[in-house]
Order: sequence, then C-alpha cells, then structure tokens
Amino acid sequence: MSNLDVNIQDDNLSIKISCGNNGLDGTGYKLTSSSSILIPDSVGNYQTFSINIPEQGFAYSVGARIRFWSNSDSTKIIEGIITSIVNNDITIYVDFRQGSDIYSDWICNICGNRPPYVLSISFETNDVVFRRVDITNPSAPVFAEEVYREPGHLWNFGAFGTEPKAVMDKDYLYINVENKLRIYKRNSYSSMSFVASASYPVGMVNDCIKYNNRVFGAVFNLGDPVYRGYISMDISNPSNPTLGSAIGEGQAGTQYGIASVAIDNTGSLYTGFFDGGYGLRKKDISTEPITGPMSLVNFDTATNIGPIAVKDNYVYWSHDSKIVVIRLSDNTKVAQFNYPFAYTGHGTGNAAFLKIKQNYLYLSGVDSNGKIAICDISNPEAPFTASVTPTTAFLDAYTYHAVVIGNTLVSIASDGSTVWNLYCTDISDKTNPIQKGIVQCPDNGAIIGLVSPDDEAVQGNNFYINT
Amino acid sequence: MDDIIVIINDNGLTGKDGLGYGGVTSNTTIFSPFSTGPLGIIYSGPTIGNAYSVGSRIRLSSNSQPLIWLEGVITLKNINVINLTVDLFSQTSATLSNWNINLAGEKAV
Repeated sequence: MSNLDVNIQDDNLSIKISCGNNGLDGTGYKLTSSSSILIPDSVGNYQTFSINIPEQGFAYSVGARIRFWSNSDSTKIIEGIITSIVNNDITIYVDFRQGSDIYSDWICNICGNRPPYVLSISFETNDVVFRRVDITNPSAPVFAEEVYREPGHLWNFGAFGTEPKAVMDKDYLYINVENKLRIYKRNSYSSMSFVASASYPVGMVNDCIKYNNRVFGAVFNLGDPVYRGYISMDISNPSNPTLGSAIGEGQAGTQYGIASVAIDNTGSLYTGFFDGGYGLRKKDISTEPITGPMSLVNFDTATNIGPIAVKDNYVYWSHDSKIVVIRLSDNTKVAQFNYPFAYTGHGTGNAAFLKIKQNYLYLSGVDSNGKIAICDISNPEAPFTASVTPTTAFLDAYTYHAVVIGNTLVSIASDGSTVWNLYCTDISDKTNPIQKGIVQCPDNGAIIGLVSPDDEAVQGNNFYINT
Repeated sequence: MDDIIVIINDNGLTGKDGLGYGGVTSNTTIFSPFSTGPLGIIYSGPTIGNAYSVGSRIRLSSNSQPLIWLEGVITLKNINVINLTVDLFSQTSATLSNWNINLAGEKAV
C-alpha cells in the first residue's frame, strides 16, 4: 500500500511517497501437505493431513469437499468431506480414492461431488459383465463403461428367483448366487476386480444383506442337510471370507424354504419361511456365535412367499397378493394392503421386489409389467399406495431390481427374452412419478442385478437392502 | 519552480487483506426434506467481506453434521444475504441452522 502526498509552496514542489506493506492475500483453497499418507484400500474411513498453512490462513471449513493429489502423479487421489480442522490438521471422511502406495507431496483444493454410481450386472453373449451406468441426466441414462468382465457363465442363472442377489457397500460388491458368496472390489470408477469367493454348505442362497462384518442370505435346501433359515459369511477380511452361523430350523412339514432376510437396527434378523403356511421368524444376530432356534413372530396360512423389509418397529412382509405389516413391539399384525398389480398370468400375483427408503416402500413383482408401486408408510399402521410408476415395459416384463438415488428411481425390466432396459423415473413427487429415460443393455445383455453404494437405506449404521 | 523535493519512506500503512473465501457461515434454519430451487440465507463473515459473487457455486455444510449439505449457484448477494438456486443436496431428515459455506465444484456430469 502506498500514499502519495504532493505539495507546492513558494514555487517548491515536494513529493512524499509513503510505501507500506501489501495486505495479505485473501483466504483461498490451495494448500499443500507433506504428510506421509498411504492411499487407503477402501473408502469409508477417516484420513488426517497435516497441512502447510499460508500466512493468511485458508478458506476451508468443516463440510467442504476436497481432493488431495500427489504432485508427482496427479492420478493418485484421495477425496472426501472435511469433518474436523484442528490447528494445521485437516481430517476428511474419504469417499473416493484412486491409486495405491504412500505419498508425501500432496496438493489440496476444493472439488465437486462424484457422479451417482449405479452398477448393472448382466449376462451377455458368453460373459458376466459389470457396467457403470451414468444417470447424471435421468432423461438420458447411459451405459457409460464396462468395468469388469468375467469370461464364461460361471453362474447358474436360471428362471426368476434364481438370479444373483447383490449388495454394494462402499468399494465392495457382494453377490450371493447359487451356493456361493462372490466378492468384488471397485478399484476406480472404471475398474473392478474379483477378490474371493466362498461356498455355503447348502444352497440355494437367496437375498443378500450386509450387516457389519457379515453377509447374510436366506437359505433353503431340500436335500440333506435340510436347511430353512439364514446363513452368514464373515467378511472381516474380504480376501478370505469364512463361514459364519448357519441356522436350519428343521421344522416338520414340507421343508420348502425361505425367501428373504431383513435386519433391523438392533441386530435382529427376520426371515420369511414357508412350511405349509407362511411365517415370520426372528433371531438376534448382533454377536457371534449365534446359537439356538429362531423365534416365531407371526404365522399365516398363505401359500406364496416373497421379500420382507424392516424399518423402525415394523416389518413389512409380502406373501400371496398382500403386504402385511407386523408391529414388532408386540408381534401384532397392524395393517395389510393388497399387492397393487393385477395378476397377468405371468407370475404369481406376488411382490418379488420390496425396498424401503425413508418413508416409502417400493415394490414390484413378476406381473407388474415393469411398474413399481410407491407406498407411503409414514404411518406404518395405515400404509397406502401413493402411486405406480408409468413404466412402459413389455407385457410380461420382470422388474425385481431397483435403486433409489436422490429423486431418481432406477429400475430394470425385460420382455423375458432378449431385451432388457434400464429405466429412470423422477420420483421427486411420490404421488406423480414421471418416467424420464430408457436405455437398453448393450449386446442384448440380460440385466440380472442393479446395485449402488449410493443406495443405502440407512438406519443407524446398518443397511437394509433387498435386491 | 525552484526545487523539487521527493521523500520516499517505507513506513506507510499495511494494505488491507484481500477478499477471501474463508470464515463465512450462516445460522439460517433450513428445514428437511431439502429440495431444489431458490433458497435465501443470511450470512456472516469477515468484516472485510468475502470473495463470493453472483454465479459462484457454493456448498452449505452443517458444522455439526458435515455429511449433510446443500449446493447451488448464487443468484444474489448483498451485505448479509445470499440467494442461491439449490440443485443438489444430501438426504437427511434433520432440520439444521449451523452452516459453513465453501466454494463447491460443479456437480458431476
């Protein structure tokens, strides 16, 4: 800063120039760090960088989303949201990382959010293929890139009900298919790799839910041994999954099996079972080892089984052509509403897909013609169907996978032969869903799974996902 | 003109700091569920002012729950009010009123 004083007196000119120091720069975002940091193996953890603070300080505050990258290799990245700033330490919750190894030449700056992540699992000519689907513009969804290809049909994909059941949590994809748990890892947005697989002692394993360090599936086995319950794999070390608890009810009767599992936020697991009638059983699985039989919550005399979901004090139980709501505090049936699709002769008139997200339950079935019903469960004892998506699928389309990302419902449907489409529906108004975009799976692929780490119906630290 | 006298000294005043992005907060209550569209907030920050301007993309993050946030582009800014058009937000059922403000990157394409 400088001041200039000019005076003229008695024909004399005096000029006085006073020079001060410049003010400091304004606070900004570019920082550096010399912390020796290993790029983490996965997202979902916290990382603290000791930063070199410029004289004027910096602009960051808690909540900013930032990127650290190596000055020597800008493809080595750690991104996340600032959760604390203490002196010269900035801690972030890591939600994206790329690369490996240790670096100590970090540059930091502000960055934007990553695009929503949707992964399709499809059977194509001879392979199983994972594709990243870009739904940034729901009016024009795009199969953006192939991220993994597994040569040959290693899985026995058959009729409806035998498709893989999958859940994605952060960087890991868990698939229960046949009698195996298969684990894959996201290396970057463009690449995944196979990690490990482990066999359950019986099959078929239906459903797939992750709870802490375990993956659960519903099991039925008509042979020896007879199982009708749930089974778990310990995934503390994803590279070496090990068999956890397996509970076979061993009830007398037709021993037909169970279709789904759900877990509440206290660590209670629920299974729907079929044994001449349809029942709902419960088991505390919060700690291992788990012993003893499951307890009966409710029993009905229905004949068809479907998925279940749980939220707060209520479990939503699909069987026959209805959804039954059981209040868990007293195991009492408090509500029932009919499956909102007409039976078309292609299926059984039952729900085949059921998912809860916030105060809405999403459901569909083999005879819903690609449509998904959105049910308002803000009052669990008085649920009602708020709307049905206007999906224009083929008459005998299947719809049994869907994810909800923000205000977009992403679903898949087929004509049961070679055409499998992905649909994006705007559900910002739950009473008036609007179909936005449709795209067909490449190579006439059959989409058999749809998952997203952004599709976490979270209560506490638990995930409740039915796929 | 008889004489010209030039005096130069370096004891002048230090200049003002530049406008920056740091230290801007808001106590405006924002109710859940969040939605897209216009949002007006009352903000506070350094007395010197701040560098945000109309057209800047900003992120409001809860100071107590940093994973809860809204983003949008500033449409109006005056001495204590910022209007923005929210186009992206995290899912939450919380109603909050302790917001930090930072620049944000463009939403992904």
